[in-house]
Amino acid sequence: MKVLVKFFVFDLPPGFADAELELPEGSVVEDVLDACLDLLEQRNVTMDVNELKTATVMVNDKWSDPGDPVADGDTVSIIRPMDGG
Amino acid sequence: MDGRYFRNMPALSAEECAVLRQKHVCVVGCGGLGGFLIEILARIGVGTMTVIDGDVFDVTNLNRQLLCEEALLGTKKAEAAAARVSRINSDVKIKAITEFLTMENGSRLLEGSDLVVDALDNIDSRRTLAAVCAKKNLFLVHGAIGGWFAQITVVAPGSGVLDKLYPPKAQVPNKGNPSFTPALCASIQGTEAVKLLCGKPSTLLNKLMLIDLRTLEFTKINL
Repeated sequence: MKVLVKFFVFDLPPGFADAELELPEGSVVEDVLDACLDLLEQRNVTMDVNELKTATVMVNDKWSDPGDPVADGDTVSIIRPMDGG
Repeated sequence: MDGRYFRNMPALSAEECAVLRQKHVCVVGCGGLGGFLIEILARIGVGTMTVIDGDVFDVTNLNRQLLCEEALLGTKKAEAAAARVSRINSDVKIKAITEFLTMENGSRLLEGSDLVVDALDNIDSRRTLAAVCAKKNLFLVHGAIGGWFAQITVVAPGSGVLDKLYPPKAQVPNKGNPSFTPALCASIQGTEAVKLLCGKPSTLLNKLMLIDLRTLEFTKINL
């Protein structure tokens, strides 16, 4: 199945705003995050694992937890927390 | 002072300007975001403001904090905010609180406020503020920055939005804070605050605005 991943406010190079990922049926949000890390590594983009894995995730505009399922055609938004003031 | 609010109009009606003068806003945090927010709200004519910050200025604040001046290093941020507001707009009743907001003092510090603005700089304090606002049934205009990025949302009391935005183990790497980021974020927070105070619908209620200043992309996400 395919899911569209959108990265929000991550300090990624231009062209990494979103990515389409191929995942096995039965995948959950955490699998999406692992696949993102693999993709970034393949493209030689450095990202702190914890930064991605502790980010806020929404699937189709709904808050999601790491164990929540994803389905074909879902849009997964990953939002990096920021707290500066 | 006659004419002080003349240039607010017709963007705001005379009636809306009068409404603002009856309102009480609490700005929590008088640093990067807070300095610009206090300036915006004082100049537009919010009648009463409480400004809260237990911190003092240090040299690293000079790059972005509107209230920070070389001569003020080591002085209380909230007191500097109150002094500046008094110089800008003597119509504003301003109260400076030189302590940090906690679960223990929060209800007392927010007493009488119509609206609260989050200009804090760490997750724990933001969670505390949201909890106190929920308890007091107050709307919260949230803003946060990091490097070239900013986020803004309007939090309805008890909606739990900040707990979702900041998962329990959230890691927030230091991305720096250049001068332009807090100015922009505070402008949007100030805009939403004025809308709410005037009884207009907030564009960011149950929506999160995410800003990437590298690409100038502004995205609104439904919450």
